[in-house]
Amino acid sequence: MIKNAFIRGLNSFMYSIGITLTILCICFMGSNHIPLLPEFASRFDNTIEAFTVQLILIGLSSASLGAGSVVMEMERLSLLTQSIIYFIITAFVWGLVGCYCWGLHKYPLTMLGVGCSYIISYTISWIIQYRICKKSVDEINRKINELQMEGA
Amino acid sequence: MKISLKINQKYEIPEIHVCGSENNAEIRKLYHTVKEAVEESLLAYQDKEAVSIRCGDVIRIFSANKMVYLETSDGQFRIKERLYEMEKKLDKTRFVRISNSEIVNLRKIQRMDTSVTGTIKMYLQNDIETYVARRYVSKIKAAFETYMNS
Repeated sequence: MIKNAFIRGLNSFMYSIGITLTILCICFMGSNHIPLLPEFASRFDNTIEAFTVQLILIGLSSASLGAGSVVMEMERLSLLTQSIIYFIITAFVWGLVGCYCWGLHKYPLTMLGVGCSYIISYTISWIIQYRICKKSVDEINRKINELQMEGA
Repeated sequence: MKISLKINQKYEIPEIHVCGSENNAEIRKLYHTVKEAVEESLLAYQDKEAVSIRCGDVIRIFSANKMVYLETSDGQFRIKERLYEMEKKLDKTRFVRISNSEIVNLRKIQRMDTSVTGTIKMYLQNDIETYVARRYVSKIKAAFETYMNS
């Protein structure tokens, strides 16, 4: 499980770095602008340094999403428990990165809005997964009953 | 039902054919009964003693503490093969993987339950209870469809 988490974390880190750099190229070609908050950039000696730090933090937060996904495969935990653990891991990491890179903590209403939308999307995703799974299990039970009647 | 014995040199390997006018429940049951009677066995160990176990008697195969075990109504036995090797070896129409650490015999499944919190539990013969990983549910469904059509 740890090996899986590490591999997924590493893959997610690399993909997010690649995607972010691609977006940087598009922004730069389009508007000659590097996507950075001035407040965040002012903490560093130059723009490149600031962007590199932001890039690494985005990579680390993606890595946490990827690595944390192994929780969803621990079958002894219920879907609800899995979702709660995964939510806590990802919200914690994303919250820290969001506060450091984009000053999310300075805008409580925005932070609350982001938090609520995150929780709502999680809840909807959980409900959809549960219903799909329940439907499949009911179909399997029907087939089991058919087999048992044939065998009787 | 007619039973006949044919001796012909063209049959280099003995064959058994189950013939019927349609693929109904009776024919399928007959086919699976004959198949189970002649299928190969698995070599397992219990207290250093080697035991031959028919595949049809296996309820589940699971890995625990870096070892692989199979369970029948007579108890648990250790096997030397790894789980992925057993998955390749066993009849895919009768055995299905339900998690990273377990394979079960389709005919030994009694029912499955989904709790409110989303845990998927599988009840097997011999009052054995185990858990199913969500990503294998669709494979279990497909395995049942294949088994019933075979």
